Order: sequence, then structure tokens, then C-alpha cells
Amino acid sequence: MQFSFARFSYLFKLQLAANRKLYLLSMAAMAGVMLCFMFLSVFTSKNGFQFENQIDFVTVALILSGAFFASLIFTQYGDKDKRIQSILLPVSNAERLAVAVLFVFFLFPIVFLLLYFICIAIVNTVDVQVLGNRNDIYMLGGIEGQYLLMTFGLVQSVALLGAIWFRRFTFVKTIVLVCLTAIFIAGANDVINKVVVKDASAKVAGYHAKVNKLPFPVRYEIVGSSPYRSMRFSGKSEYGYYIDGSSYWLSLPDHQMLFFLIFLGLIPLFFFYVTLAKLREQQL
Amino acid sequence: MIISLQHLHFHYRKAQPVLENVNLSLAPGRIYGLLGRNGAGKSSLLYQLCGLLFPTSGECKVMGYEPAKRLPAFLQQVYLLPESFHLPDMNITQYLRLFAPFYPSFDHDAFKRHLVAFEIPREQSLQALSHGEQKKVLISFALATRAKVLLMDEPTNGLDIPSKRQFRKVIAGCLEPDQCMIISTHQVKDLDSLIDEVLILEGHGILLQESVSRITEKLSFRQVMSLEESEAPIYSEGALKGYVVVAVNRQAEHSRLDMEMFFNAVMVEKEKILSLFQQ
Repeated sequence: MQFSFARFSYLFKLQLAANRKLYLLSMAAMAGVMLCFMFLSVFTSKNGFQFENQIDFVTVALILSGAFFASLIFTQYGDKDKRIQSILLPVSNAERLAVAVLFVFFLFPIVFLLLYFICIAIVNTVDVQVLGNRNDIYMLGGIEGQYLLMTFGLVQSVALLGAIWFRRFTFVKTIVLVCLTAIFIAGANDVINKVVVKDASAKVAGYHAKVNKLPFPVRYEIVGSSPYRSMRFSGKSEYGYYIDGSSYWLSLPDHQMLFFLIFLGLIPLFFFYVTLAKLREQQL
Repeated sequence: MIISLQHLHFHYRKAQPVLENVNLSLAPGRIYGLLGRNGAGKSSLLYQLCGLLFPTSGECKVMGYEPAKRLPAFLQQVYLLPESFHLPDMNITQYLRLFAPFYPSFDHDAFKRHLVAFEIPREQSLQALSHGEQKKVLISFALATRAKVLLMDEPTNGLDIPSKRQFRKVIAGCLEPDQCMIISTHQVKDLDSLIDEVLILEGHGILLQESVSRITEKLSFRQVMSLEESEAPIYSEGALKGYVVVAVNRQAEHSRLDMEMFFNAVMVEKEKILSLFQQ
């Protein structure tokens, strides 16, 4: 793999200069859309633009707009004339990928969050000072912030691959690909859960009955056990209702969970590798 | 040899072969004219040489590199001027500032000289230029890269008559002994005086590769009032004043190569012409 920082910087400058108008217009459009949505929430919601709504907004907006931006990072490969120029530019594929990663994973979120904080500061001032609502500003902290950055990284790496895998309608096709993958993972996860726990539901039911000295066994089901989360068992009554206080969580010890987190961190690297391979095999 | 193709095969997916068993050796310091009918595979051959397309089988070596690997060191030494192209929305100075650093041997003075020869103002926005003017900027850039292999696909398409003269003048004065230029064109009359060697692509392969001097040694190109005036004519076309004739050059007379006539003669009288050159 060949890599030169000089060529990387030339390519970075070229990418910036060739798209500067598009980027500036997009930033203005993004700020406009953010302000519209935030002010709409401030004036139409009873308690203004609440903290929880800010979390939802920044999560959806960052991930969707980020995926859209990433899916267009190799847009020049979709047009024959531009493709010739791009492929024949004397840079290695590693340098191409590095510039794309810099734009998609670092510059875009920095610019997005900068715009977000400017907009939310303006909106929150109106919300608090003018309308008298008591809303704090969400600063990307807490577990939500960690999940946001993790999901952003994963979605961006898939979108980056989609940008080079598909030549036309890259965003739409990438979104379809992400949805199909998510559906597959959800389906496979459900099956894997059932295979792994086997008759654990019955054991949990027995345990619950013993600990609580209940005279009747409660039927247990796995509920909301998404990948990388603890498995949750909830007890059901004979009439099919979930019973309060009957939930149990099954979690891996921290040192075992670490392996899964490392695996999760490697997924974007896998997508980078496939992106690199696709860049290498680009032809006219 | 700067370019060497051995048993090269190429076809697009689910399609007829475009290139079959192509063997070709090209030397530096020469300008090659690549001729062929529409769809003969001229552009595909150029794309093979710069790594835009990969061979289905066979070997392709350019300056010792395998073009399909597209190593930066290789791409710095190969420049393709495509038939149609897209230039970014910026002026010529910005274009130069952004693209020239990718080519270590880029000659800024030569670029300025070529722009002056083509009468292109330097501060002009690329988008404000006509297609022909944009092409002249790209030709200037291509020559200034000092790439060892220059590939030009229909370079005179879109150029007006004075620009074609400028093009010939610029090209004639800038080829270095270590450079090789391949010009694929249908407008052969524009380039008659430039070409050192003719390559004719036909039937998915190289039908003929001959130097201009050898062609004019074997054949004479003349205009006559009647066909009886010409000895051993191989091919003729009616002209305003009589005929233009391609004949066997038995008298060792000197004539100027008419590339269009030669190409038509090869297409129509393939066997006769090829047998002449095989002698």
C-alpha cells in the first residue's frame, strides 16, 4: 500500500476546492433547516424544544445527513468524464480513501456539530429568555452521546462503501442496503437468541418462582434483546400480560464484553478495506 | 520499448471481444497515429495503456509498469487526453495550482508557452471557455506534465481550423526523445504531417504498424487526370480534377502520405497492401 502525505494534502486541497461552492451552499442549507425545525419545535410544543427532543433531533439529523454526505464523497465515479480524470489522477487508493475518511468521519461531523451548537444556542436563548421555558442544551454527553457516535461511525462506514459500490442513486441504494442489513441482523439476532438460550426461559421461570416463593411458574420471554445489549427476560402471566418486577437481565462480564466491543470497532475497518478494494477495481 | 502488449485480450462484460490477441511494441521519441473504424477498439486500447480498463488476459507493460495496478509513479508518467472531459469550476491559475503538483516533472513555463500559442487568456474561468478552448487548456496541461506516455483520443475534435494548425505546431515542437505519443483520430488530415508511425486497428487487433517513411517507400500517393496515368494503382477515389490514386511505388518516387487515402486503401484492398509490407 502506497501512501504519501504530500499527495494526500494535494488531493485534500483539490477535493475542497472543486466542491467549495457545494459545501458552502450545503452548510447554509443545513443551518437553515436546523433553525426551521428547532424554531418550529419551540413555538409549537408546549414546553419548547426540550432536552429529549434535542437528543432525538441531533441523532437523526447527524446520522441521516452524514450518510447523505458520505454517499456523495465518490460522486465523481458516477460520471464517465469525471471518472477518467479521477482514476488517472496520480494518487494511490489509500490516499483517496484517507481523504474520504477525513471528510466523512472528521470534517463533516465537526462542521455539522458546529452549526448545530450555533443554531441550538440561538434557539435556546429564545426558548429560555423570551418564552420562559426551562430547557437545557444537549451537549452530546451521556450514554446517548456514546451510542450516537458509535452508530454514526457504523453508518458512515457503510455509506462510504455504498458511495463507491453504486454509481448512481448512491444515497437511496445505500439506505436500502442499510435497512436490509438491519432487518437481516434483527431477524438473525432473534433466531440466534432462541438458539443460544434454548430452555433458559423455563429456567428463569423456575428461578423466579423459587426466589419469590410463588406457587405457580411464570412463562418467560426474551424481550428487546438487541445486539450488543444485555438479554432481557420478562415474565408473562397465563393471560399473556407482562408481570411487573419480573424482568431479569443477562449480561456478559466486562472482560468478555470487551472482545465484542473490539469486534464492533473492527466493523468500520472491514468496510474501509472493502471500499479500498472497490476503489482498486474501478474501471471505466 | 516504452509500451509492450503481448497476446492482450479484452472484452466488456457479456459482450463481443473488443481486442483479441493484440501484440504491439512502441518506441519512445515517436508519434503514433492510431486509426480504425468506429468501434474498432481505439479508445479501449488507449484505456488499456493507462489503466482505465484491465486486460481480460495477456500482458500489458508501459514503461515496465502494469497499468492495471495504477501506481502513482506510473500515473505521473502517463497522461490521457480523453475525447470528452469535464473541467472543474475554477480559473486556469487555480486549476494549475491544484493539479500541477500531482505531476513532479510539470513544466510551468511550457504550460504558459502553450497557452500563449493557443491564445488562451490565463485568468479566464474554465467554465467560461468554449469546448474547443477548454480542450486547448487540457492539451497545454497534458504536454506540460512531461509525461513519458501521452495518449490523445481525438484531440482535434472541437478545434477550429486555426486551432488545428496551432495544435500541430505545438505538438511538433515539444516531443522529447524519451516521450511517446499516441494519437487516436478520425480526422487524419489534421495530423498527416505529425505522425511518425501508423497503427491500424481492425478486426479486434492491430492490422498494420508501419512507419510513414516505409509507407511512402512502398506506395505513392498522387493526383492524376485518368487512371491510365498511374502505374499499378491499388486504390483510387474520384476527385474534382481526376483521381487520387494510391499505387505501388515502383519508381521509388517521393510522395507525401495521404493518411485518409492510405486508410481507405487498407480497408478496401487489405490483402494487396498487407502483402506489400510483408515483402
